[in-house]
Amino acid sequence: MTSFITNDVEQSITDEALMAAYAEGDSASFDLLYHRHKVAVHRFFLRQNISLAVAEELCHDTWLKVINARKSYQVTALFRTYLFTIARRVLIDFSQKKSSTNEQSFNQEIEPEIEVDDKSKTVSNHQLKQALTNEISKLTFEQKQVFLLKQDAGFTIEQIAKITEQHKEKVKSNWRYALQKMREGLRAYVN
Amino acid sequence: MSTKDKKDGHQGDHQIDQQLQNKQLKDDEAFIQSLYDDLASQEPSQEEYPSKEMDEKILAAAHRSVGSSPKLVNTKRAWYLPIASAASVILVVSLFFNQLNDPVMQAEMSFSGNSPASSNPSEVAEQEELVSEQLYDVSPSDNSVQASTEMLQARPAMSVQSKESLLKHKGINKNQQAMKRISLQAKEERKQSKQLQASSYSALNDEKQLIETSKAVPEQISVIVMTQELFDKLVHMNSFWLFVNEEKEFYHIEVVEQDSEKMLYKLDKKTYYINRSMQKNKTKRSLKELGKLTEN
Repeated sequence: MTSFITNDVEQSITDEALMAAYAEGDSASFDLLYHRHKVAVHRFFLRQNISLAVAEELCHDTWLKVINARKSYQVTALFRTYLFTIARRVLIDFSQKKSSTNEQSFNQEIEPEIEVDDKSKTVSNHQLKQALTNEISKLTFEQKQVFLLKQDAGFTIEQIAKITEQHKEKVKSNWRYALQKMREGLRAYVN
Repeated sequence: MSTKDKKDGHQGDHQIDQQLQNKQLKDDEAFIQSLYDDLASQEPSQEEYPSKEMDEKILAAAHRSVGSSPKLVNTKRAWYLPIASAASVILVVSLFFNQLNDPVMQAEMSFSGNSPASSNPSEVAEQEELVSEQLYDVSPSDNSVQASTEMLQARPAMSVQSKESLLKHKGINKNQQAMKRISLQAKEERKQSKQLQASSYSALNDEKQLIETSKAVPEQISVIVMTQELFDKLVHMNSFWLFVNEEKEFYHIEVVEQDSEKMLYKLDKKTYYINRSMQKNKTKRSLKELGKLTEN
């Protein structure tokens, strides 16, 4: 795959301009846009405690929605906000479908908790990631969304309020509780 | 402790709680961030990247979506090409038939069609005559006074236009001979038309004069030029006269003879003179009076 983020000019083009160009029919703009955000979207789904296959499927659905809605795209907010709003809706649709067909919860896919040697306090990258995933999965749906959007995707409280269509104070509250829970669960991993 | 103090105490507690919460939040944020920093310092796992297959799928879908758009536009404008082609064909065909109906074109075609047989001078002359008829479709009797001047003026213009249109539309060398003939014919026609125009103008002038005279002179009275003999005779007959009108060289008078028959006479101004008062006062006078006047 050609690396698109090599040119300074390309880097200076905003996501919104790229999406507008794609809406006008410039497919190269979408290529650049996709390579900028594909990892963030993919990680967002991966952190939901779902299998890699399902995460990829949801990721695919999200990008397809962006593609199909290109003609109706209007620059009212950051493209990232727009993208993650779609991703969140795709996830909600998936969870609703899954809960209606199968009462299995996401937590069933969680790997068993890793025993950490408190003395050595040395954990591998994989172990830390696993512990993080486990703790995230213990959060409520809303707390999980807020935590992932803030910590993983780097959105502000205001932006998350827009994505999740919730009041800013509620988002802040979810963020605080999510952090407390995460800290409790991951206390053993701090050096 | 007063209620105000209690309120102040509660507010103070609330502020302290808020501060503690904020501190706790900041600590928690720092804690989680340190964990994420640890993860970020290490190589990101391949698992976090979407597979190449998915990349290709999504990009292909994106390109397909854009690629289909221009096709959509083309299908919307698909009517344009056949309609434009049909319109062009109709225009060309109509122009062709219009040219066929052009007399110059017909003449040229007749020339080119009969060119092998045109070696005979008499045949050529006949053809030229035919062409001139086809070109102008004017009979020789058109030089009458009734022929309008517009028609006469249109003739040379028409021949020039015909020549120009022939040059413009054809420009074929093999028909140059026919062109020359038509050109000569057009020149002759122009000369003839000028002559006709001049004659028609003079005829028209004469006719105008006649019309004016007929309007001025009473109807059903013939005009007779007054001679000396006639004048003497009328004087002898004791006839009377009335002034009718005046022209550049003549007077018109009405003479009433003894049997009450009215006759119109034309008097030469060189011989006779009728003063202004007599012209205005149109009463019956003796011809002797007129004679006396002229003698004076």
